Amino acid sequence: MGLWEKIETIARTIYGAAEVTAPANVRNQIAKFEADGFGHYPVCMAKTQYSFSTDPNAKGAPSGHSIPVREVRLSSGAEFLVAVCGDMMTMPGLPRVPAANSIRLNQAGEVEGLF
Amino acid sequence: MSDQGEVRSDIEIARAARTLPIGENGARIDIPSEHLLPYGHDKAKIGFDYLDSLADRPDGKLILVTAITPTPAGEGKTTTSVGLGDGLNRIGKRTAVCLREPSLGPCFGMKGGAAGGGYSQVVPMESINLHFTGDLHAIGAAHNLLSAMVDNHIHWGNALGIDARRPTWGRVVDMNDRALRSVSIALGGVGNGFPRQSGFDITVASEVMAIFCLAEGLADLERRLGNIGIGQTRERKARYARELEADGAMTVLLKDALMPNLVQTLENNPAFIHGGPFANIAHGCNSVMATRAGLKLADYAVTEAGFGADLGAEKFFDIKCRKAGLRPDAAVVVATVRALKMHGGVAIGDLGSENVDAVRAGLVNLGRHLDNIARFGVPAVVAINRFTSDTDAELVPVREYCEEPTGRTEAQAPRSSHERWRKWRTAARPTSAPCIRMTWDCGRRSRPSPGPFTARRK
Repeated sequence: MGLWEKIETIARTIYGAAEVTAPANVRNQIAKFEADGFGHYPVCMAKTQYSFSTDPNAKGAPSGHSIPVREVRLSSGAEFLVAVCGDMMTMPGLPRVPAANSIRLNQAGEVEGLF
Repeated sequence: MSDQGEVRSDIEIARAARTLPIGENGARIDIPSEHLLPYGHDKAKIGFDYLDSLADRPDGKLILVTAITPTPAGEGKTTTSVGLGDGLNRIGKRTAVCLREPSLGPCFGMKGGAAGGGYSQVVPMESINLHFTGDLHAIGAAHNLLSAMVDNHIHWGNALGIDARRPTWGRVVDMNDRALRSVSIALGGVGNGFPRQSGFDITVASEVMAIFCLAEGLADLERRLGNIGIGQTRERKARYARELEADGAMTVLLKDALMPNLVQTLENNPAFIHGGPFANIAHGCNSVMATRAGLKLADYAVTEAGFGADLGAEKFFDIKCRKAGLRPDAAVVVATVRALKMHGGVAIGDLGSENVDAVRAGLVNLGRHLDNIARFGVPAVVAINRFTSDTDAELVPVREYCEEPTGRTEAQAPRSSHERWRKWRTAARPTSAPCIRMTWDCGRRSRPSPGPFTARRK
């Protein structure tokens, strides 16, 4: 099974999607990875965790949606292809009031505020 | 709640725990003390020679804990894993839990620590959540060594012809720091290299973390590190870490970290906590080294995979299990009334109010996850991670749904629940019992189907 077929299989059977879309450069990139001998890699989907679709607000069990693949990245050490669907956060930020504000050592030298 | 009383915070419960010295903890699963490398009094790494010596032992049963599509607070997979592990031990089944190693970033941000909750925690909680045995630091150092070597190579003439205009291997730090997402590097003059744009990821998003968690041993780790792509030439030819001769030094930085960490639950049962890659850019499961140790040393290994089952379980089956040749015997799907209400259309701010109809409407999400797990041929149990704000009426539709004799999944998802906080000790048993029944009933039939998902292990 080719890399694109693997992406489609996961999107259709697991996410309930009707189709997977990708711009031509992504399709070309996949073809190049296959030509370079990486076609046997599994696919690692990078999708929002908050929905079966790529819209984090689509709750429940949405179906018939479209999964857009924005980018593909080869993790040639880990040996998988990452298919990036939507925004992907690889460096989180802190909230307005981070937990760090209430983490401290108490009089007994114990850590307070971790939870 | 029947047994009223002050609900203590996770850290207070953890601090009051009576932990076994690490030698006694290891002895519970028959690890000879000479093969434990103690990190303080209650943490240890387990030696490679000893792990290798276990190769011929039969594997125990493998239970994956996953979840429905989560709320931002998470649904309690780690808490459920620890509760299930303790419950199995209580009914006489020798069980180890194999969990992900927390990152510092979320600890100081919003999500808090990642060592379970209530009476289902792993200890020493503060240490596990902070520097632990230094694995995250080692992974960050190995990653950043390669970054420095890439830039140094370009500075000294760039014999590999790495195209500095295209993205190259960036840097990582184990902190939530949005200011580093996009940075300019090598500013300040000729002696500092070629100025260009680059960026930082959090350490758990590093490919080194993903490699660390899939590596079968030091030799495999080194091979994989050498295969990391560091950039491209102007002709779009990929360049690899091995061409910079970085793989050896990176492996040296990781040689101790790759040994699995042994700690314990609040009930003094063994817990392997090792590696924790992101579940989007990577596969979101603890190390193969730790899971394999759990399977060799216990009759049951309970492990978890990040995010909901659409991502976590799918990657666990399709990536981790296939690569490592593991065969899961059962899956536990963690559901909360809060998340079900969210899927039934309730806004995040209103999840605290009773709404039975919304719970019922939200069950479609649970159903989709159960169907998906059934496609892999793995039987599933539903575990309700009950919160004090849940009402009895809200639990009724969940129980009814799980008890429907529709054969909706191969396993029919027997009802089970455990309550977080005070009462979990007795309530964890209902989850344990169907797990036992399914792992034994299904035995080895429950390996993931070989297709159609992804290529099999080479």
